[in-house]
Amino acid sequence: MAYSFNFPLVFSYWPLFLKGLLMTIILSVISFFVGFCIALVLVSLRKSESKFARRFVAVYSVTCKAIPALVMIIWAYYALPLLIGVSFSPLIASLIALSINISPFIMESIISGINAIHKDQYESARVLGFTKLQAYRHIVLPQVLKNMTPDLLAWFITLIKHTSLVSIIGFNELLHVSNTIISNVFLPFEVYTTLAIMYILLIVCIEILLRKVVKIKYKTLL
Amino acid sequence: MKTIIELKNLSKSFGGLKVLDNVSMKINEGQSVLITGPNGCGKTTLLRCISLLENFDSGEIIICKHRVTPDTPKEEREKIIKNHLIGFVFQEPHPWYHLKVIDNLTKPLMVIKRMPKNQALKKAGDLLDKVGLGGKKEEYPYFLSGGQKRKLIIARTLIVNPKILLLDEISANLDRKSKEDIFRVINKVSKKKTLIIVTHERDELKGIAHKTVRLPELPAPERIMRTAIRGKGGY
Repeated sequence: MAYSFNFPLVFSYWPLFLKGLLMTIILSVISFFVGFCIALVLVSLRKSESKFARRFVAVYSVTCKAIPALVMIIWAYYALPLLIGVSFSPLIASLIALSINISPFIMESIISGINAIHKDQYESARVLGFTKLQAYRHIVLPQVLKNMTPDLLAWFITLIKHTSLVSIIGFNELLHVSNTIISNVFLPFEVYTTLAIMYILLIVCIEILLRKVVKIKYKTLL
Repeated sequence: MKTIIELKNLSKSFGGLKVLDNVSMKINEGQSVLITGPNGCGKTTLLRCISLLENFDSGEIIICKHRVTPDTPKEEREKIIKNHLIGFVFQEPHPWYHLKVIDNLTKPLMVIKRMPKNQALKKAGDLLDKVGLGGKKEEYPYFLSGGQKRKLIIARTLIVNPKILLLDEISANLDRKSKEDIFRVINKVSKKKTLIIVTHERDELKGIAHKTVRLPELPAPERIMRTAIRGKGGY
């Protein structure tokens, strides 16, 4: 018996899809921002003189890279509240898990961006009379940002895809919303196909947009 | 003639290895001095100490009456750097790759000297014409040849009008024509400046040099290699 497709019924749930999409974007952006801030702290610790700080970063980095994102999400939602006695909403638990999970990878991107800049770039500015701050602001940072942008873009896209994992703790992102729709209409093929197409469109749009912004801002050959 | 730079018993070690051992010299205003010596004898380190990028272990440097010792506070060093007494052209030509050729020159003028953009563009354009890069103003340094990059670095150093110009093996890895080109540019743009030139091309620079200082060879070159490798670590 041939399967009869019923996409119009699925499309009639567009407000729910839209809500899921919005939640996915919000979670991705906030998690990436928090992860980036954690990564900046990690970079400064790794570049510091303190041996203890550098060792802490090494241990943190290995631990976070080794734990799968899904395990971290489950741990943040179910185990962490037992440890500290405070329970989190699915949004907060997802945020904690995803930002911690992505931070060591962002840290590596920033460090490789810095290391790719030759020391002469900074020193030539200093010897010309730039202050430390001016040398970083006008000479080093623009080049670091330019170097690490492709990497950061790749991590942001990875993070967007990782957000689908938080459906397991009941956060209303795209996959969770899709499962809810399926339980109403019993059309898994149509719903999951729509979901896959939405992810493709989302990521293609973000990639085009960010590449355009980067090209305008830093004039890269990206 | 007035003395512009004086080094008194300058010594510098990396780990346990002495790279500069009691180096003393006097350089008068407007003089050109060649520093020669075998690889690893401390020529670049000497320039780095004079430019105040590197601190030294003992001795003193007097630059235009400013006395610098190993204990001179950072603020005072900053003040000397800010006075644009010294310009340093590094061995490897590393222009600021994110800026166009013209902006490599306008940036220091606008940031350090707070010069208005129009004025900075005019000054930078004139200097680029002088060094033969007038046609490359709007290009990014990626697209310049090795010789052109060196000319750009020399122009960028000269744009803030330093009194003393330190040139570290500026003709290394260039063909004969490019070398002649670079020497011609130096001759043209650095009149009335004090030049300290580290070079292996002693014969070709004889014409502009007032004196030559040869740094002695150091023992145990393998220790130099080890120190250099250990010291490599970015910022």
